[in-house]
Amino acid sequence: MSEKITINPITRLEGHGKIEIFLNDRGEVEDAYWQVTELRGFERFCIGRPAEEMTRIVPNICGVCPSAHHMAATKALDDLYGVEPTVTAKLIRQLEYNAFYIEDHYIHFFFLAAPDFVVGPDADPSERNILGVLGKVGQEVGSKVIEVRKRNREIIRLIFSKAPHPEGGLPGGVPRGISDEERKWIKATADYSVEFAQYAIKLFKDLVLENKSYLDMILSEAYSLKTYYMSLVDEHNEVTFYDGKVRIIDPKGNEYALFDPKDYTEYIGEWVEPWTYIKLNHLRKLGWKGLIEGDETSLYRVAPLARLNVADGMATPIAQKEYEHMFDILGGKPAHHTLAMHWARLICALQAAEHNQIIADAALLTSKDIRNMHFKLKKKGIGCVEAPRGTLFHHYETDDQGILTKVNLIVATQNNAAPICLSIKKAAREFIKGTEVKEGLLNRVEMAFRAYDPCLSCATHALPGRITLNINIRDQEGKIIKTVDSE
Amino acid sequence: MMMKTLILGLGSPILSDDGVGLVIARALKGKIPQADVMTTPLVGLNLLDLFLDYDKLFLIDALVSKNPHPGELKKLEPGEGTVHLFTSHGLDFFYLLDLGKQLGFNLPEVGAIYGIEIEAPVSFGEALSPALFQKLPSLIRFITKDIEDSLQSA
Repeated sequence: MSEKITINPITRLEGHGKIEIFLNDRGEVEDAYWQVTELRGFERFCIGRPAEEMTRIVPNICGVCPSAHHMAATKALDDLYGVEPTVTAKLIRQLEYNAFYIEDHYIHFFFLAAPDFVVGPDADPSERNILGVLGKVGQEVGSKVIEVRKRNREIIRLIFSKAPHPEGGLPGGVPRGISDEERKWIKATADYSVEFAQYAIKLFKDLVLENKSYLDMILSEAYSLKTYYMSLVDEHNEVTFYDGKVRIIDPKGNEYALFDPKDYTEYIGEWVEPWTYIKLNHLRKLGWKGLIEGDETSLYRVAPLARLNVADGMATPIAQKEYEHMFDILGGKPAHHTLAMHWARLICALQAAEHNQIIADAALLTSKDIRNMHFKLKKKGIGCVEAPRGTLFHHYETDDQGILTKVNLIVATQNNAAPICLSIKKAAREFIKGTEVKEGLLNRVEMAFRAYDPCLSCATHALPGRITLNINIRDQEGKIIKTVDSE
Repeated sequence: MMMKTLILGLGSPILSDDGVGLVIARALKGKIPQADVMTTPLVGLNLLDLFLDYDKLFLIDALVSKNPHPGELKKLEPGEGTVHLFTSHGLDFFYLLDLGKQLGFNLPEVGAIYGIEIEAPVSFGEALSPALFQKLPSLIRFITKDIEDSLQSA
């Protein structure tokens, strides 16, 4: 029964990313498409089940960000059952959700983004990884990343049983309260997380902003895209992750819309193209205008930079200072610089940590009033959170018995799908001239889409597997003239 | 001191045959008293916490190959991947081991990686396909004995 085998990554999974780049007869990039294949049938799988099962099911559609789906599902159940969670329940949920943000954002920054900036975008791929990063900045950074994530995962584990794969979401509340003893280590974890967040931002400034070529790269037209932006904002129009209204700004920074997440279908349109399985979101009232940027576009972006562009500020003081500094460097709002998402991500992680300091000090955190059980089935529930990768909607409808009859999910990567295509196209135009492909093409183009931290697992409901990025470069007749494969 | 052993089943419980590693791991609970058994749908760095401080690790996961024979078991060499040992988010399992060791964590020796061939694409569902379900008893017998033999020879 033992045999050595070779596995072709292309056949190993469904969540396969492929980039097709088309050249015109002058050898210039005419178009670029990010194509995704899909595993269908998630909605059908859910229909016929009791709605309350969704908080158990949805964390399993993504091995990367289960907490975001879990929280969106929990909030959709609040709405479905017409119940408002208690103040303490909301505090505990936000505590967990902030902890999730912290652990998630640092994975992306240190393991996926930092290699490009610390080791270098053109470095040998065998060195352009976290081990290469640690070689440059010291191994203690790695230990700190592991430690801050571990401590925050303990918060997730405490509240929802398993970390980072929660399953205990309940309509109207949370499955357990917080004791005075637990409050102490939660506060210590929040303090440690704020300290680490400031350390991470300083590291970014020292390594990236102090390097002129990197700053020029961030500010370059190749990595800029003028779109609308969408995010949740709180009652002061400041950044929020757990709850709020959806705000959209236009490419010049003017407010285009501010609405309750329950009205999302009025604003968000889903467009289908034959070349990809992922639905391409756009602003419904503007209509689908294709893959274009600028004032005439109907495309919007989500994720960390969008959050900071959309909001009037951060909700916590230290993060606010960093927010102001970032936009000073980027030349004001809105910033269209795709690579600045990494910077914005670190500022979001800082706000999450600061917010947990505030929650840890809240008197009501340890109240026993953790659940409101006054249910009234409304047969329709919509839950919305700012997932780390952007605004996430869960929409459920049921019959009179609470059995699901409709399920619709709009996930962050779906919101960003069309802009990702455009970002890739702009980067490709910069780095591809005819059949002559500059050194490091694959990585330069990958950087354009890696900034979005795209997650195909839930965007396409695909298997949580490794994405292999293949780039096909085709001439004006569609003939492949070069293939670059990340494997 | 007694060696700490973990049997870890990987896979999604809502993607039918993709979850075969979970089903087999659960069946091993109690069969090998000196080993802990865990199951998870997680990938990447999220796995690290699960096996920190164990001495020996046995992994069970689904495997998709070019010409799959559903239910056939492959014992993989380090570096060969199953469905959930790789991730879109940067860190495959073997890389994770290297990183953890470099950072000075106590990481387990990999006792074996059992890949159970499934057909791709899989669909959403909580039950295994009949073809795979039929082979469960022999798969559980083989893996149980193989782990026992490995632990006895250690």
